[in-house]
Amino acid sequence: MSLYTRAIEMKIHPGLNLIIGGNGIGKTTLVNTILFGLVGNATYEKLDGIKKEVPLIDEDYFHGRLEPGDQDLAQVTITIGVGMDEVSITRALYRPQILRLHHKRARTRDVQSITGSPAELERRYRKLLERLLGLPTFEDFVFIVANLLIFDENRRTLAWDPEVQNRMVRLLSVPRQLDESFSKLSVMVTQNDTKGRHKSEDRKRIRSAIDRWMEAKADEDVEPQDVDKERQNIEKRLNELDQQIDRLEGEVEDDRLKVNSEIQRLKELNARADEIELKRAPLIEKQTELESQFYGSIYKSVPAAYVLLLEALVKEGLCEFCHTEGRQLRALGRELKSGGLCIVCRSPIDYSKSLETDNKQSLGDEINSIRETIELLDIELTTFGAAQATARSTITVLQEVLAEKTRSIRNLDTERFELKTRYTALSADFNGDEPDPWLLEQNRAIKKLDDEIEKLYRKRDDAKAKLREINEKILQVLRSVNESLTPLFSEFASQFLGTNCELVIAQRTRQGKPVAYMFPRFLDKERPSMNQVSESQRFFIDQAFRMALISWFTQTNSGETFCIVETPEGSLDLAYEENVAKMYLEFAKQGHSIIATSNLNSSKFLVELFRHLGDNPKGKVLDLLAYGRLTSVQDSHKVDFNKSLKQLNLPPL
Amino acid sequence: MINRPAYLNDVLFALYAAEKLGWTALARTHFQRILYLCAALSDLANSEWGYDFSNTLYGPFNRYISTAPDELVHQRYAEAIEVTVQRDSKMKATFRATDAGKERVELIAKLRREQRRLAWIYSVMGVLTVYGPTVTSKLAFIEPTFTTMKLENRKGAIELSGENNQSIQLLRRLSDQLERDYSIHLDTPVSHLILYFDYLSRDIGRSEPK
Repeated sequence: MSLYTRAIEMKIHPGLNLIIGGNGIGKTTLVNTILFGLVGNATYEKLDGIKKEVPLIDEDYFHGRLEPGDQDLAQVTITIGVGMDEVSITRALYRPQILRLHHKRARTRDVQSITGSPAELERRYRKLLERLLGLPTFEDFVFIVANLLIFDENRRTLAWDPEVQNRMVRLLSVPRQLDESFSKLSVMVTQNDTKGRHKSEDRKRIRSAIDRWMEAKADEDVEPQDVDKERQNIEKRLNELDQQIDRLEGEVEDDRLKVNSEIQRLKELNARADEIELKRAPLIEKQTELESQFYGSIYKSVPAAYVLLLEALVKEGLCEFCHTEGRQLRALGRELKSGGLCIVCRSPIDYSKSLETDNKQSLGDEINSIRETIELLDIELTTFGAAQATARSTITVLQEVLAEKTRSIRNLDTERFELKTRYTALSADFNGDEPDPWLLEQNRAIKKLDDEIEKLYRKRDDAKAKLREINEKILQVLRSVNESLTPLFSEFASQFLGTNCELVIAQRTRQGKPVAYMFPRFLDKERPSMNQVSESQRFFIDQAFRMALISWFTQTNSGETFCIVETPEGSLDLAYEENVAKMYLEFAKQGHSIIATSNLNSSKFLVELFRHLGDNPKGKVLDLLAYGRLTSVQDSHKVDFNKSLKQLNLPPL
Repeated sequence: MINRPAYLNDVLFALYAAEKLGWTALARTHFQRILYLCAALSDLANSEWGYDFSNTLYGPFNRYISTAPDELVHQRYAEAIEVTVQRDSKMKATFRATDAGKERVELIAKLRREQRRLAWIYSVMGVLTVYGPTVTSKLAFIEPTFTTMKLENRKGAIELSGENNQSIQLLRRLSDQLERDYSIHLDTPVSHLILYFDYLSRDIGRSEPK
C-alpha cells in the first residue's frame, strides 16, 4: 500500500492512546483516515464570519497519497460503539463510497448487514448515527467532531470563538426544543427585517418617481395643439422603437443559436482532443519504458553516484561517503581509476559487456515506430489546438456582440417605458380636473407597502422579543453548565498553568442576535480575547476547555467519547512539557479516550506519558515507524530512533 | 524532466561530431557553449531541446553537462587528454571520443529522435568550424537571450521558449531583412545558422578557416 507498508489495526482504549512516529511517516494521514471513516466527505458549517459549508476531509485528500495501483484497494473500517450498539463502516479511500455497513443491535445482539447503493448506504449511515447519538442532524455531529473532538495542527481555538462555542454548548446542553425555537426565531428576525427593508426601498423608489412627475408637471404649461403634436411625435417614436426592439430581439435570438452551436463545436473539439490525449499518454509511457530498456546496457554499467564518488576521490582526495580526506586517498583514487578497479570491492570492472545489438536493433525500431505515432498525434493535437483557439475567440466575439445588443434592447426599452408614461400623462391632462390615474395607482401602491412594512416589522420585533426571552432561558442553562464546567476546567487548566483558572460567562450581540459565551479568567484577570494570553497558553487553555466540555458532557449524559490531539508537545519548554503530560493523564484517568500523535524526539513529553502507561505500554501505543516508509534522512538516524524506542520500552526498528 | 541519458548522449554526440569535423578535442566549457547554442536555436530544427541552462558568470551553464564528460570517461566512451591538475585541485582536461564511444553513438542514433539531435549538433558545430574554437567560446556570451538575461541581472534558468527566445527573434529579423531588402531567401536551417553566426561573430576576432 502507498500510505503504509501493511494494514494497520488499532483499538481505541479508554485512556491514553498514542500514535508515535517521525515527520512525514503518516500520523496526520492516519488521524484523517479515522475521521474519514467516521464522516466521509460530509460537510459542516464553518462559522467564521461568512457561513460556509466545508468538508471535514476534502474529497481529494487521499488522491495524492495513493499510488495508482493501490487506489482501489485502499479502505478504512471503523467500528463505533454507541452504548451497546455497534456500527461498523468500511469506506473506500479513493472515491467517496461506503463499501460495507453493519449494525450490531444493542438489544438483540444480532448483526444486520445493510445493503444498497453507495448513496443509499451513506444516507442510512447518517440516519443511524443521528438516531443513536440523539443529534438533530449528521452535520451537527460533523460540527462537534471538527470543532471539539479534534485538536489538530491548525490549532483553531474554541475557548475564544464566541459563535462556534455558543453553537457547541447549545448543541450539547440546551434542550432541543429551546434551541430549535431559538434558531427558528433568529431566522425569522433576519427574514422579516430583510423583507421589510426591501419593501421600504420599493416605497422610496415610488415616492421619488412621484416627485419627479410632479416637478415635470409643474414645469409644463402646455397648449392643447402642442400636446397633440407631442402625442403624435411620441406615437411615431414608439412605433420606431417597437420595430427596432423587434428586430434586435430577432437578431439576439439568432446570435444565441450561433453561440450555442459554436460552444457545441468547441465541446466536440475538446472531446476529440481528449481522445487523442488518451491515446497519446500510454504511448509516451511505453516509449519511456522502452527507452530505459534501450539505454539499460549503454549507460547502466556505472551509476552516477559511483562516478561522483570516484571523481571526488581522485580530484579532492575526499571520500564523499565518510568524509575522510587526504593525499593518500587521492593516490588511492588514481590507482583504482587507472587500474579500472571498483572503488567498492576492488574487482576489475568489465567494460566489454555484450551490447546485444540485435536486441537493441529491434528495440530501436519499436521506439521509432511509437515515436512516429506520437509525432503524428502531436500534429493532430496542434491542429485541434488551433481550431479550439479559433472557436474560443469566435465565442468571445459573438458573446460581446450579444451583450452589446442586449444592452441596446434594454436602453430602447427604458426609452419606450418613459415615453409611454409621458403619453399617459399627456392623455390624462385632457381629462380636465380628474385626478391623474397613474398618480392614483402610485399612491395606492404606497399605501399597500406601508401596511406590509408595518406588518413585517411588527413580526420582526415580536420575534426579537421572544428571542430575548428564549435567550434568557438559554443563559440560565449556560449558567448552570458554567457552574459544573468551571471546576472541571480549573482542574485541567491548573495542571498546565500551575494556578487556578475559572470560566466567566459573557454576552454579546451579533447581527442583532444575542450570543452567550464563556472565556477564561486567571491570575485575577479576565481574558476575553486570545491575545491576552501567550501563544502556548492559548492552545492548552483551549485544550483544557475542550476537555472540560467533554468531561462535563459525558458525566451528565453517561457515555464515552474520544478526542484526537495532534503533536501537542510542539513549542513547549521542558517545564510545560511535563505539565501538559499531567493534564492529559488527568483527562485519561477519568476514562476518556484520547488519541494523541507525537513525534519521536528528544522531548520529555513522551517519556512523561510513558511513565504513567505502566510496564506494558503495548496495545496503547501505535508505533507508525514500523508501518511507514522511512526517508533517507530518517534511515540514517535509525540509531537515534532505536535509542528513543528503547527508552520507551518499545521494540527497535 | 529529462532523464540522465539525454545529457550523456548530447555530450557524446558533440565529441563524435568534433571527431568527424576534425576538431582536435573539446574542453569542458566547449560542451556548455556548443550545447547552449544548439538549445537556443533548436527552434530552427523544429524540436524542443528539453533542458535548461542557467545564467552564470562563466556563461550558460548546466551542471549535468559539466559532469557528463567524466562519466563518459569512466564508461570508457571518452578519454581525457592533456590532463593538468591546477593549484586549487581542479582538473583541467580536454576530451575525445574513444572507439567504443563512437560505436555507441552509432547505436544510439538508431533512435530517430536521437539521430535528429545528433544531426543538429553536427550542423551547429559544422558551421562553427568555420570560425574556429575561440569564437565558439565567445559566441555564447554575446548570444542575445543570454545577454538580455545578464543585462536584466536575472538569475536562474535562461528562458528559451517562445517569445522569450531573443535569439530566434533576432534571427527572424535578420532573415526578414535579407528577404525584404535583397530578395535573398534562406531555405535551410543551416543557411539560417550561417547567417546568424556570421552576424554575431562580426565583432569578434575570427580566425582564418583551416
